[in-house]
Amino acid sequence: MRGVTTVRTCHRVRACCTLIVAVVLGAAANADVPYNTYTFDWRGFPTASPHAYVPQAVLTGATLGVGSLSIPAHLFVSPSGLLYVADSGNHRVLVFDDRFQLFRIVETFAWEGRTELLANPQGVFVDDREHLYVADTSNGRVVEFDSFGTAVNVFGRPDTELLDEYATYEPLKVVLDKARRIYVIARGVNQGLIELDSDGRFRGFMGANRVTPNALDFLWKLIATDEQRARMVRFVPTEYSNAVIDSRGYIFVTTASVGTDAIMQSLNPDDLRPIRKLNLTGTDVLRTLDNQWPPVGDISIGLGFGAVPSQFVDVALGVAETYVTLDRVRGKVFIYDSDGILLAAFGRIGDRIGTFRGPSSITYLGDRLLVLDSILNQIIVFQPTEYGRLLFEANRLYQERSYAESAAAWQRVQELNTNLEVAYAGVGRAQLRGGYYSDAMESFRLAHSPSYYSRAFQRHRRVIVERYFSVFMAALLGLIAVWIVVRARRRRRRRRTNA
Amino acid sequence: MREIASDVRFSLFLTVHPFKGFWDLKHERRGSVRNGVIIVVLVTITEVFRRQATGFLFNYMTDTTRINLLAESLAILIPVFLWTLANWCLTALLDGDGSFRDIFIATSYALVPLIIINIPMVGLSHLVVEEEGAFYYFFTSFAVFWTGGLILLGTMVTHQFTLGKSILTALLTIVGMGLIIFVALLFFDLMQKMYAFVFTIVREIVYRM
Repeated sequence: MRGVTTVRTCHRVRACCTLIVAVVLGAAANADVPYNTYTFDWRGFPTASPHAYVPQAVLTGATLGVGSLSIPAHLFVSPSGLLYVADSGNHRVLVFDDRFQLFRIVETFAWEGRTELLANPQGVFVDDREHLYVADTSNGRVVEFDSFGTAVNVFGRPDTELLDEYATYEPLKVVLDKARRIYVIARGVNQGLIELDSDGRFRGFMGANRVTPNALDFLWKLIATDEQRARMVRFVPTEYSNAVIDSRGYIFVTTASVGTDAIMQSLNPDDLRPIRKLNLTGTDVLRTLDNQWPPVGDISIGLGFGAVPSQFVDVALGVAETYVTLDRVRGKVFIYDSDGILLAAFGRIGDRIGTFRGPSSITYLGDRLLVLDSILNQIIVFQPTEYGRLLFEANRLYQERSYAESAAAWQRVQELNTNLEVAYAGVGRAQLRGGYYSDAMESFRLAHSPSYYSRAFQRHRRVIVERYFSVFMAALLGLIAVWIVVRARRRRRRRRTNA
Repeated sequence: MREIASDVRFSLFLTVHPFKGFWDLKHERRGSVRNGVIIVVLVTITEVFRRQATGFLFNYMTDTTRINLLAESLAILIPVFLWTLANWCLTALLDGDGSFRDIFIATSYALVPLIIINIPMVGLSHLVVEEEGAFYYFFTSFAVFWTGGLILLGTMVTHQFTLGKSILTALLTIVGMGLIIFVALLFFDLMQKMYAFVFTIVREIVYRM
C-alpha cells in the first residue's frame, strides 16, 4: 500500500517537474523577446497581447558587408523587392536584394560632364520603372537615377517665391505618384508637401497642416496684452516627417515635430492627427471610427515628466490597408487596421536585440518588418508570429469579402488573444451576416461596439416580434374579451340589485 | 398598510399638483422626515440600479463590472444634503418660512419623478435600438427637468417666495453649495496639516528623549 502511494507521489512529482520545466521554457522563449506586445481596450487601458512580431536578426554594416553604417535615415523597398538604405552619414545609398546581398552602392554620379557626390541623403524613393529618386539633402536637390544607376535628372530648388528665400532648401523625403508628379518634404517648410511636375517645375503646396485655433485661444488672445501675446506659444503648422504613397495614389504622411507644449496646450489633442492619408487635393481621408481610439500611438501616457505623446517618424503600408507606424519617443511600432484600430503595439528603447535607440524608418520586406536604427546604425528584422500572420490573414479575407473564412480566422485570433476587441467584432460581423443575431449581439458587446450591437439587436428584435406576435395578439384579444364579459356581467348584477 | 398606500398616493399626487401638494406637505403635515429619508434611499437605489442594469446601447461608457456602490450612493446623498443645508442657511437670511425639516422633506419629495421615470427607462433601454434612442434620452432628461421644476416650486411654496425670488434663491443655493464644499476641503486640509505638525513634533520629542 505504502509502495503504491510512493510510486504515485513519484508520478506526481515528475508531472510537477515537467510542468515547471515547461513553464521555465515558456518563460525563456518569452524572454527572448525584449518587449511587451499590447493593444488598448475601450477604456484606453493597455491590455496584454501575444507577440505579433518577434526579432529575427540584427543587420549591422559589417554583417551586410558595407563597412559600418552612419546615421542611416531611410529604408525603402522597391516594387521589385530591392531594399534601399539611405546611409546618410556616409553620403551614399545602399541597395540590397531581399536576401540582404549587396546589389549596388550609389555614391557618385556623372552629371553635365562632372562627377558629383551625394551629401547627407535623407530620403529615397523607387518607382515602378526601378528609377531611384534620392533626396540629396545637403546639396539641396533631388537626383533621379535610372535602373542601371546612371543619373538622368537633377531637380534643384523649386523656382518660386513661396519658399523663404534666405533659408537653404533641404529636401528630406521624396515620393512620386503614378503621373510622376514629385512630392518633396523639405526641412523648415511647413506649408505641406512641395509638389513638382514631372519636369521639376513648382506646382504648389499640398496637404498643408492646417492650424485650427479654438474658441478659448481666441478669447485669450482678445484679452491678452501685446507682451503676453508675444510670449504665447505660436500655433504654427508642423512639418511632415515622412511620406509613403500607396498603390491607389494616397499619400500617407506622419508628423513628428508636434511639440509637447503644443499638445499640452491644445484642448483637443485628437485634432493633431499625427498620421494622415492625403488624397490628390491634399485632404486627409484617413478612416477612423466613432467611439474608438484614433490612431495616435500610445493613449495612456500618464501625466508629468516623460508623459510625451508618441511622435511618428515613418509609416509602412501592409496587406488589406493595414499600416504600421514608428514612434521615436518610446521606440514603438503600432500596427493599425484599415479603420485605424490598433491590432498590436510593440517595441521599446533599449540595447537588447529587438529594441531601439533611435528608430528612424520602418518598412515591409515581404512579410518581415525592417526597422532602421540611426543611433545604433543597424537594421532590426522582425518576423511575424503565427498570431501576427492570423491577424493579417483575417483582415485580408474580410477585405476580399470572404466573410466566412475571415470569421474563422478571427475565431482563431480570439482563441490566442481573448483581450482583442477587434477579433470579437470580426466574429460578430460574420454572425450578423449568417443570421445568428443573439450570438452577434454578445460578440459586439464584448467588442464594445454600440453601433454594430444596435444593428444586431434590431434584427434580433424583429425575429422575436415576428415569432411571438400571434401569441401576444391572441393573449391580448383574449384578455379584452374576458374584460368585456366580466364588465357586462357585473353591470347586469348591479342592475338586478338596483331593481 | 393603508397608511403606506396613502403616503405613496400623496407623493404621486404631489408630482402632478405641486402647489397644493407642497402646501399640504408643510401645513397639513402630510410628509415626514421618515418618508423623506425613504424617498432619498429609493432614489439612490434607482440610480445604482440604473447604472448597473441599463442596456448596453445606453450604458456602454460605464464599466458595469467596476461600479463603486459607495461612490454612486454618495453622488446622490451628498448633493441632497448640501442642497438642503445651503438652502436652509440662505433662506434663514432671506426671510424664508421653511425650517430645515421642511426643506428636507420638500426636496426629497421633489425627487419622486426620478424614481417613477428612471425605473421603466431601464426596461426601455433593453427594447430600443440606437436610432430610437431619442425616446430614451427624451424621457431621462424629462425626469431631470421635472425634478428640477419640483425642487424650484417646493422652495417657492415652502418659503412662500415669489417665483423670481425662488429662482434667485436656487442660484444662490448652488453658489452656497460650492462654498460649503470649499470650506469643507479647507477644513480637512488644515486638519491634515495640523495633524502632520503635531505628529512631527511628537516624533521629534521622542527622538530626543
